[in-house]
Amino acid sequence: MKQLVFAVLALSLLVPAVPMAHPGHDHKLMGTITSIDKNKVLMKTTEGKDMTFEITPTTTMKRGTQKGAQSELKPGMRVVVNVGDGVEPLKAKEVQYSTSTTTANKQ
Amino acid sequence: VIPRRGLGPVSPKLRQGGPAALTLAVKDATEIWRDGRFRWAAGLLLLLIAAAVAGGVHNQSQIARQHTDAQHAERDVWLDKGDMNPHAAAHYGAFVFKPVQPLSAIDPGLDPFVGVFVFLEAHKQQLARHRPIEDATPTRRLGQLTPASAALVLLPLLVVSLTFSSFAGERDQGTLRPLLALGLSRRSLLMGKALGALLPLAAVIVPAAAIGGAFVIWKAPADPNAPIVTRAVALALVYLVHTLIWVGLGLTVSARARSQGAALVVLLALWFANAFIMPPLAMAAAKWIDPSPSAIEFAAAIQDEKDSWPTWDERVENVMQRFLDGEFESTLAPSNVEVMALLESERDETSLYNRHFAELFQRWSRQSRSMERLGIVAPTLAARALSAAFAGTDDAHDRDFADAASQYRSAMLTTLNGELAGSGRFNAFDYTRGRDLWEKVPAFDYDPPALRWALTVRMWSALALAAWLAVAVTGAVWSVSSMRLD
Repeated sequence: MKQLVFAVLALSLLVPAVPMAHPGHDHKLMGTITSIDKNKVLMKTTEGKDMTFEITPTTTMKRGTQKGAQSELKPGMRVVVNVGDGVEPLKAKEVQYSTSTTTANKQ
Repeated sequence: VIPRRGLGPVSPKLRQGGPAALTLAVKDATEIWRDGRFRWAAGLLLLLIAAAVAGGVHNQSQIARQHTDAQHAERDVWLDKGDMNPHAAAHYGAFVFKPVQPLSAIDPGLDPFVGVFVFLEAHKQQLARHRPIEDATPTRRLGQLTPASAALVLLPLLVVSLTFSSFAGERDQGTLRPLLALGLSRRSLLMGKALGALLPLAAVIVPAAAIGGAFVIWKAPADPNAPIVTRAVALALVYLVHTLIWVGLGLTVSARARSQGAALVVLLALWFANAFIMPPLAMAAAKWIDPSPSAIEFAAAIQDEKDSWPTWDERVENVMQRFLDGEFESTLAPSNVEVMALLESERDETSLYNRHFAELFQRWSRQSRSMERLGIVAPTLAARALSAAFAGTDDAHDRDFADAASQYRSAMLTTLNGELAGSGRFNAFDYTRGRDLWEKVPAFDYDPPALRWALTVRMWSALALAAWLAVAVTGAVWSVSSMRLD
């Protein structure tokens, strides 16, 4: 049985070698647009936090699976924003949106 | 004067039945005791039981201490693992150890054949690992003498040797008719013969129980709430009832058999069938009625179902689409799509594992019930089931531990994943926490179920054993009342 204890402890110490099963990908955040000021978009996330992201010339716009346009973004619209590595100031790599204008976090 | 057949109403002769039965019992017991072969057999059996108890208790207390030490060491490793992402901590996982039951020293039951610890981790639920039998030497695989096997297998053999000639021997020697002609009633004769067999048996049972009790109390766990006394009493009761059943069977067969040789053959056949044929036969029948998957088949069934699930990217895409379609309307869902997908994935996996494990455990439970049913034709089977249940080492107790480990895993994942979800960080996977969060996952503390629960689970065996006692007593009474004298 002593081997059992040692085996378990050895296993315990080995496990930290596996750092994380979900390494960081591009971060995609869900929220609802509250206001738009030129290229700066303010949205309220599903957690109820306000966040601002910037639309750059390389940002891809998608309406569902179709190609979209920045001009179609409106307050109250649900969006999923790919903010890359999530380092602020947040720059959108891709903005996917729906035409729905319901609020994402009625609480 | 030839006493009438049957055990009719009380007669003046029967009033003398008590002292006459006692005189007969003392005479028989003295004769048995004077037989050197009995003294050797009883001494040897007592020695074996004492050795089995001492060995069992020593082994049990050693293993219990090692499990406790390992659980404490594991807790320290969990708390001291440093800062990391909460979900990474869920992957880091934790080991929980099955507490060793104090009375496993008396009846180890399934303990050598089931795992002693479970590794709890994210996304995957596991069966207990490291079966003690894997560490055993080849000779151990031939079987192990335990106090339970001594009480349930060897003691009945001693009973057979004491009872087979009780009536058949008197008849063979032509002393049965003269014995009754002295005015002894058949009921007194039966009581005398039963006591005459039980008194020498007491020379084994009483010291064995005293030795067992002393060892168990001496090595009792420090936990004052450990349900050791009630379970020990229940265990002793099972062995006593089982022994009484064999005394009844021995006297019944002896009264009915043509000769003491025939009685011995019949009783040895019954003993052999109960001890060695019925357990594997019952196991095979139970598996035939309710086949259970092998470990490989079980794992493959889970994997097959997981393989049919959407890939990770599809799952993430699905969450995004559902959000855009209007889901998560009034929830505080994490804003990070992947965290949401992760929580859903964890939920689906927990549900999948719970379903497969529940099916497996139900199947094992049905097998166990099928085996119990056969206790109605073999009292030793019923006694074995009760013995392991009262010692806390049967399959039902093992499943109870597995359920507790599964619930602990769910609580652990809820704490860790909940922290990740509620972190409020856009980059939730770079979010790290330390010891203060690990301490929110309490140490695993498993209390085995109470004796009443064990009795409820094994009610069929308890009823079967009680029925066997009634049958053995009634059988002995009927056999003696109608036995031939020449």
